[in-house]
Amino acid sequence: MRSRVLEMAMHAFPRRFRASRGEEMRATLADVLATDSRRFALLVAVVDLVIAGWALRLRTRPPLGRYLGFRLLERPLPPQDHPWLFDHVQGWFRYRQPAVRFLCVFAVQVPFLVAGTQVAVAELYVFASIYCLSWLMVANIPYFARRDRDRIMRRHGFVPTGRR
Amino acid sequence: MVIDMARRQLGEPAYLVLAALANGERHGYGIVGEVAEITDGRVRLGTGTLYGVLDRLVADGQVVPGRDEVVDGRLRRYYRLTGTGRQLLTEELERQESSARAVRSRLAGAS
Repeated sequence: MRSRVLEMAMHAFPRRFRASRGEEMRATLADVLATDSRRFALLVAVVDLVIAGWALRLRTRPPLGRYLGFRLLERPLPPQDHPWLFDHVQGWFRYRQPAVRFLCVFAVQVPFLVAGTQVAVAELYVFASIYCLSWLMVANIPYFARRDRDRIMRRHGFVPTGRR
Repeated sequence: MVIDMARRQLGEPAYLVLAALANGERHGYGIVGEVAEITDGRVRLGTGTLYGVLDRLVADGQVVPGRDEVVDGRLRRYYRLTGTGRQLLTEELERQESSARAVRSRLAGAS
């Protein structure tokens, strides 16, 4: 239980950081908690991990201008931002874009949901089509995420490998 | 480059980590213990804070990771100060001593 909580808190740190320093951090955490007799030692450690992890994420992300250029216009990032880019395309953040697309389609069907039982048979077909399309998009979020990741990697001159 | 680093604000955790490494290399838990000793137990460096600070100091070339060893199945990586790290620590110490002298003289003048 305790180690699971700490492991979850460590996810506040970027993936690349966990890969390079995760093991020694776990060792230090274990040593510190073994000698810390305070009542809320675990809670203090978790809060510290989350704050420090997110501070490090913010500090190591590309400057706002470059970040917005990349996110909105898919402008390639310079080499110094590539470690961040690799984390970005491998982490759960890559699901954001397809999820936003799904929400847009879902928003279209809201008026039909509001209309409820009063829709005519012809409208029911439209409603059913949009409803099916929405769930089809949900089912395909991993596919779109993979496709987006591969496109971004190619744009930066890398050959995407693996199916994750 | 040295001037840029000296001008950069050195926060208390970074200053204490550099101070903990002043007299030799230490691993993460060793740094936490040394910081507690330096500050008479006033500062307990959290593990997340420690590694965030170490990451920045390593990136700035003030600290370098050294040898690894495994104790009771736990990885311990040792860190040591570089020349620029030692210089930055010395400059910060001199700045603090100068501030302390100025405050002390004002206190003495007021009494």
